[in-house]
Formats: sequence, C-alpha cells, structure tokens
Amino acid sequence: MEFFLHILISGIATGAIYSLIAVGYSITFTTMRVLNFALGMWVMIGGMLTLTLNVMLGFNLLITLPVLVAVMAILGVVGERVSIYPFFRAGSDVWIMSTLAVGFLFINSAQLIWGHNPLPVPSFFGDGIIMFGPFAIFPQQILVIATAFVIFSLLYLFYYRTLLGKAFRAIAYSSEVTSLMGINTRMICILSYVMTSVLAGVAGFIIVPITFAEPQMGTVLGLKAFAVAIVAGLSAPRGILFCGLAYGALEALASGYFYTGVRDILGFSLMILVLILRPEGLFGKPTGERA
Amino acid sequence: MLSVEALRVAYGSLEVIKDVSFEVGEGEIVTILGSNGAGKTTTLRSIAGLHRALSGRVAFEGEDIAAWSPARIARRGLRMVPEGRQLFPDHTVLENLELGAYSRYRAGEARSVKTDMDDLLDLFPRIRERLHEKAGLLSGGEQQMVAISRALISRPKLLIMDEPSLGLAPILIRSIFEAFVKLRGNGLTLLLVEQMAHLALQICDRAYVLESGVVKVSGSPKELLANSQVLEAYLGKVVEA
Repeated sequence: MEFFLHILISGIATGAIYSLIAVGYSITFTTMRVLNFALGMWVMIGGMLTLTLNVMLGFNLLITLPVLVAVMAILGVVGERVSIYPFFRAGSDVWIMSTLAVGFLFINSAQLIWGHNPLPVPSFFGDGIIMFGPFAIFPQQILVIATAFVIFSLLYLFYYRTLLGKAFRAIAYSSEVTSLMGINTRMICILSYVMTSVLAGVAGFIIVPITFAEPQMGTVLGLKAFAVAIVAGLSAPRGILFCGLAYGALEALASGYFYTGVRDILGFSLMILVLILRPEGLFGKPTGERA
Repeated sequence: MLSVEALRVAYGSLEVIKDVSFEVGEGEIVTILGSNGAGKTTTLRSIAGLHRALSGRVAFEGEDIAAWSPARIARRGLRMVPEGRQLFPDHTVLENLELGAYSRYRAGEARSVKTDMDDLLDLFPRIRERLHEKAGLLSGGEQQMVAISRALISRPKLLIMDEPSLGLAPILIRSIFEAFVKLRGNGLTLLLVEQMAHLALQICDRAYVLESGVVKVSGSPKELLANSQVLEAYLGKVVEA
C-alpha cells in the first residue's frame, strides 16, 4: 500500500507537469486553431533560464521568475511573428513545420550555450522529504501539483470572469463575428501565443529541479503533453487537468508494477485509441465547421 | 452618412457585385431589396470590412473606409448584425452584450454602458429575464433582439442589418421592425437588407433594388410601389399577402 501511494503521488506530480504543458496547446488552438508543436522545447528554455538566472547568476527565485516571464513573453511575440503569422494569414498549414523548426533552433542553441550535460538545479524548498503519515513526498512535487491547480484556476477565471477572456472564447466560435464587435482579433491571437510561451516557461521553471537542466529536457514531456491534450480534447482545459493527472498516475503505476518500457507505449496507444473512438477528445465537444 | 460608389466585389474569379452605388443619409432607414443571390449580403460584408472590394469607394462620414479592418470600422461607429444573428452560443446573453461593448469598456465607459444596457433591456424586455442563459438556448426572436442589442450597446451611428426577419415568426418580425422605427426616432441611421420587401417598404425612407450585382431601381417606397410592375419583375409579388 505504501509503495502504491508513493508511486501514485509521484505519478500525479508528473501528470501535473503534463497538464501544465498540455493546456498551452489548447490556448492557441482556441484562438487560432493553431498549435505550437515545439512547446516542450519552450519548456526547456524556461528550465535553462532558471539554471542561468538562479544557479549561474545567483538571483533568488523571486527575481528569477519575473525575468523569466519577461523573456518568455518576448520570445513568444517573436515566435508568433515568424512561425505562425505568415502562414496563418495565408491560410496555410506550414505552421506545423515552422513551430517545430523554432523548437529545433532552441535545442541547438541550448546545446551551444549550455552544453549537452544535464546540470542540477536545487529544489526550491530543499531536498528534505515531507512525511505524510506512512508515505514520503518531495516538496518540489507538492509545488508542481499546487502550481498546476493554481494556474488552471486562474485560467478558468480568465476565460469566464474577464472581458478579454470572454473575447478569447468568442474567437473560438468565430473570429469574423468577434471582429464585428470592434475587437482586435489579431492582438488576441498574439496574446494567446504569448500566454502559451509564458506558461511553458513557468512549467520549465518549476520542473527543472526534478528533471535537471539539459537541452532535451522538454522534448518527450512536450510530446506526452500533446497526447494528453488530444486525449482530453484541445478545447477542454478542465479535462486536460484531469487527464494529465490521470495519465501521470497511470504511467507511474504501469512502470512501477510492470516495467518502465510499458510507460510510453501506454500513453501513445491511448491517444490513438481516443483519436479513433472520439476524435474531439474525452472532454471535448464535437466541433462542426468554424464560421 | 454612408456613401458607396461603383462598388465591385468578387469571390475568386466570380464577380458578385458589378456596380453598386447608393447613399444613406443621417437619420434615414434605407433598404436594399433583391432576390436570393442578388449580392445583398456581399455588399454589406464589404462595407463592414469582412470582404475586400475589387474597386469602388465606401465613405463613412467622409472617410474612405474601404481598406479598414472590420474591427476598426466597428469602433468607428458602423455596426453590422450579420445574417442568422451569429450570437456566441456558449456565452450568456449578458456576455454577448458585454462583448458588443468591448471597446467602450476598454475606453473606461463601464458606467455608461450599464445605463445603456438598462435602456436596451427596456426596449426588449423579453431578454432581461434571460440575461444569464446561454445565448444558444434562446428562441430565434430572442436571439435577434440580443443581436441587435449587442450592436446597439456600442452606440453606433449606423446600424446595418442583414435579413433581420430571417426565420422569425410574423409577430416577432413586426415588433422588431417597430423597434427599428423607434430607434430611428432616437437618432440612429439604419441600412437594412431584407427579403420581406413589403415590410421593409413600410418603414424605410428609400430603397434600392439589386439584381445580379447591379442596382436596377431606386426610389422612395411610394415611387417604387407606384411602379409595381418593375418591382415585381425583380422581387416577385411585393404586395402584402
């Protein structure tokens, strides 16, 4: 039982990471029907910035985080301009390749700047283990899970309680009708891309003590998060949180009780199965043609 | 207030609007009539900036808006209610109205938006009770009232309506047309595209008849009805059934 709970908790922590990244896919899909396929690499940049600012330059976390957010936002504006806008405007699907190209650019630059070796970043609250009765949990894992819940709650409030968030949802229905409201839809598309970039950066920030900082730290995470987003449904943020956590837990249990190799087979088989049975995702609403 | 000169619009290589010119004066209700496929909706879409014209001039209060984005045109005070209402179905009625007032909220006019909203809900009391329901669940008539309110909440100078009667029960159509007359009395200018010619001719000051992308006849309702053969040639039977 202790073994089970231990694996479950660390699985849920991993799942929280998947959800955090996966919701990034959903935000730009909502506004533009476009995905940043390289989101995992953006997560890596967040991790590397944390390494640089926190470990190498010695800034504390309260300075590191805002600087990281600012850098990610700027990268987001530039990334949207070069890898989405030219193709989105022309109605072409080339963004599938161009977003990936940006990702590989990130990986190669990271290898040049930071080298190939995994570098440790200390946990934010030390490496002590917190005991909850019989089972142990790392503070960083609690932080990751808590962050996921906070960010998903904020996102919900944003979508349903702020005028800007309501405009995001309106564009999901029809960009044309939204523009008839006098709303600058182009601005909202840029903003949505910047939001995903910043979210990815923040995800990199909180997970880097767990994963170590290295140029490939986000690649597989990004792919698994993509599977989560597809399984849950790209238009269903709450479903993404649930599926991310469940997926992390399932994966951890499978590799804990069977063997590690099962882990990745499981996730991607699930994704293909869902795509066949319910292409809109478990929590997604079937979408017709967009007006 | 609005002046369209020698408008030409194409979808791909298909020229839908070949030569359309008309005027809408301040405080007028002007109607564009025509059968299906005459180019009425396309004309409105290019005025609102949703479809770029090949050539021609669209002047709104003296400014050439032909190259403007739809959002800029809307903020300038020219609002279109699209065909089929096009409410945001998963947003509540209130949220739809808030989105209509988006630029006013951004300009810090939240308080006056509130009073305007009250006035609108007095004009259409039926939607007051349904403010917190999803707009997609409303009846066609209620949706049309929300769609009109969503445009009016921005305090437009010119309201453009594409087929406001489409799919509505006759009694609702009548009350919506009565609302138009009331709104004109409050200083609003209206441009109306309508298939129900007899209704439109009852309330409008002037009408233009469009066929195959060309304005064929124009004049006051009296002039047009006096020459009813011409009208019927383009529209079929116009006289109220």
